[in-house]
Amino acid sequence: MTEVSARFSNVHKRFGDVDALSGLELSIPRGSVVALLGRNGAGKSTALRCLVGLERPDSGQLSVVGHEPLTLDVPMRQRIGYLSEDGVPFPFATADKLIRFCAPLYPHWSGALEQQILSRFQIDPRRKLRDLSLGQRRAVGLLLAVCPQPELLILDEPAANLDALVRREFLDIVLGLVGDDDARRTVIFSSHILSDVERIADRVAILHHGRLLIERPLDELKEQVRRLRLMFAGAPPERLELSGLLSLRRAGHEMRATVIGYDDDAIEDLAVDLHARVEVQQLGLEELFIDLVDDGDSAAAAAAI
Amino acid sequence: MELVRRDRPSLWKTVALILRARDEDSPAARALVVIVATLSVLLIMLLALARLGSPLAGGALRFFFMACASTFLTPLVVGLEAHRTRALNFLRVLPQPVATKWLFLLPGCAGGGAIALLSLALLPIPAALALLGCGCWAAAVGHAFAGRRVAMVVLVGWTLSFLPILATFVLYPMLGWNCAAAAALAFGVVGCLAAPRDRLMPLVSGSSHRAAACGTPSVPPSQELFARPGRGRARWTALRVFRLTAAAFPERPRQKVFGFLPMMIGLATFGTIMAWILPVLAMMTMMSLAIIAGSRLALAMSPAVVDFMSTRPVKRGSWMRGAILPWILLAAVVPCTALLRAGTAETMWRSELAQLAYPAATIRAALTPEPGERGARPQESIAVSPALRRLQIAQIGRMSILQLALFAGCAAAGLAERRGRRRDKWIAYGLVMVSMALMIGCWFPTPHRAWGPGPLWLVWLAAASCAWAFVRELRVVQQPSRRTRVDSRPRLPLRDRAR
Repeated sequence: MTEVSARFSNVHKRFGDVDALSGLELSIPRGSVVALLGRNGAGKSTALRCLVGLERPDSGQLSVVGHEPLTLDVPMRQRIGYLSEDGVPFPFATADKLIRFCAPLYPHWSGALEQQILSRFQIDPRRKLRDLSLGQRRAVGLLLAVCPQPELLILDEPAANLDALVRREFLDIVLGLVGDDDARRTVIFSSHILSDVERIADRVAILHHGRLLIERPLDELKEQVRRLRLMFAGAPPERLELSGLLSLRRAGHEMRATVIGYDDDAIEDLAVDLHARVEVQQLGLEELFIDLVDDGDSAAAAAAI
Repeated sequence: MELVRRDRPSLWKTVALILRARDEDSPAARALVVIVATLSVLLIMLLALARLGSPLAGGALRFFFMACASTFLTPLVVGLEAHRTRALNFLRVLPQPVATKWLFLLPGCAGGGAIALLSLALLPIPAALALLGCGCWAAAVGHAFAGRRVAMVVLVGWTLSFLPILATFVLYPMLGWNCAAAAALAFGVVGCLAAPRDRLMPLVSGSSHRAAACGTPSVPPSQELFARPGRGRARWTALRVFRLTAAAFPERPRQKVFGFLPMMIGLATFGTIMAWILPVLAMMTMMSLAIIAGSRLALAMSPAVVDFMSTRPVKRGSWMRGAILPWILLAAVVPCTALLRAGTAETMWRSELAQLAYPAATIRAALTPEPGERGARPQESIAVSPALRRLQIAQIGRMSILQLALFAGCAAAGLAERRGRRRDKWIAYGLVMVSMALMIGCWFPTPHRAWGPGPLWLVWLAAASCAWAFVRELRVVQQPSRRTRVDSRPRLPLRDRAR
């Protein structure tokens, strides 16, 4: 049985009249690097904040490293690293002061990793955060999250607004942390930069309107998801009920369906059943993401999977 | 042409845009506005009272009061300009009905004009000119120290700004008003000529030393800093939490004045010593400490700091002891000391008799000559009677309660504002204003005025309301389910957002 690092079971969270999470179901296996994708307002940050106990879900169940997030005690918290999207809120503190504060709180603080990050980003620990560049400030936040060598690392848009070089450095550090196979560390991060996701994630979860649209290993997702261009001689059918349908669009006599789990034989059968000519397109992660979230029907279609 | 005119926002829209600009540090900025407004109202009221012949009616005393107040306020008002820098930077790229610099200059000019008119009405001409000199010098110092280091602003800036008053204070008794006015005006002229007028606009455009620092390559870290002693076990966690959360200043350099820890500790020490020697006087001057401590508590428990601390392996007790308790102690140290010393005869400064805010009839009775004596007894000859002592205790107790209420109200307002809870914020600000009004009522020499400190039940009601607001906001902080995040403002319906 797969060991689970974090689990959302039918989690709901509402802010005023906005549903941030609407019955989120997601399990994150231990040792995986999971990317949470979604549009702005899809619920990624709320999901991560619920996971570290910063938000209390309205209903549903959550577990992180086997415990309920709101009741985590000090030893449990030592097993979790978290970097919020706002970074570190102490502009007048020096990096050194922050490190001196955090390091004694964790039993496995890595001085080597700390040195590596400081020198890699050329951070002078005696300077105040406000005097550092944006990339350096984010790096200090990353340092505070990864140096405890946590069992579960949660990063909320760690590389937002950073240049390509700094992003690459960030990813290398995260990859270095998860490279240790024995430790079986889990990383959950949210991002809008799909090239980064393709580089480090081994699983992808796409959220839309607070729901999970799809969650699969990245390779499996790229292999199994296809876009079918269905060309009909006459008018296309009003409804198209397919198993594994992720999104559907109509344009004249054509329909574009993004589906999962269809091999060549299944596609041939589909063409025969629908009396349509079918063109198959393999999708990259970016196209897949856009197909899934830039369609009002996708949520309903995903519910039918 | 018409198109261009339509694109331009009106002056009122521009001003509204500036006022609505939400920055991280807006609670303290608004608290500052409240303080400045209150002190200004107080100043005007005192001037009006002085006109009617109160004990402050002496010309020199009137001048020094006005000069000290305007010198204290002017650098703060100049400092307020920098609080809206983001909004003003944004406005610089829009077609404006007025030049951006006037958005800076107009409020200050209006305030200066009002003070000038008042001084001309209430002071002799040389004294009014001396006041003008003091004001110009203070404004120049305010501009010169804009964006400087905190220590410079507090220790050097404010000290320098009081120089012309000191000169006037020395010269006036010896050489008269004319010489004193000449000296103060000389300070003013020098200040105006030497003021770095080009300094403020670069500040607005963001080219401060910070930006320069960000652009320069970082100094490689020295190796010795990597050695971290005492990794094994976290000790003194509450103290370290306090040190860290006390550094959670907002981004704006001007507000560092209010977060300057050594300054606050110095102020608290000074207040405590004063409270030990002269309790009533200490209670009248320590209002600022309560306001600052309340605002600092709100900063130490702001959402970003709470997020940071609650995801670290820190015990909740240590966290609360480090982030909340020191500010409560700071606000309570002066009232508690004053209460300890209240009612001891040796602490009763004779002139305090006139400042005790209890019914004028009681004071009159205390000062009424014994049967057979001629005229009122001089204050020095009055022994502090048990009745007066009780009144002193009541007065100090009342002010202590109001100080703590002020602290709680400011903290509640700051906490509510930082969590985007608008209704609670305005309720808390209302309670702060009520507490301040009651406290100001306690300041007045009531033997001569009908305006007293207000009924005791009102004091208790204000204090209880402030305490309730404070506890309520703290409970919100501690319960994730009740936090309202700033980014949870109403958004478009889901369907529209998907498109």
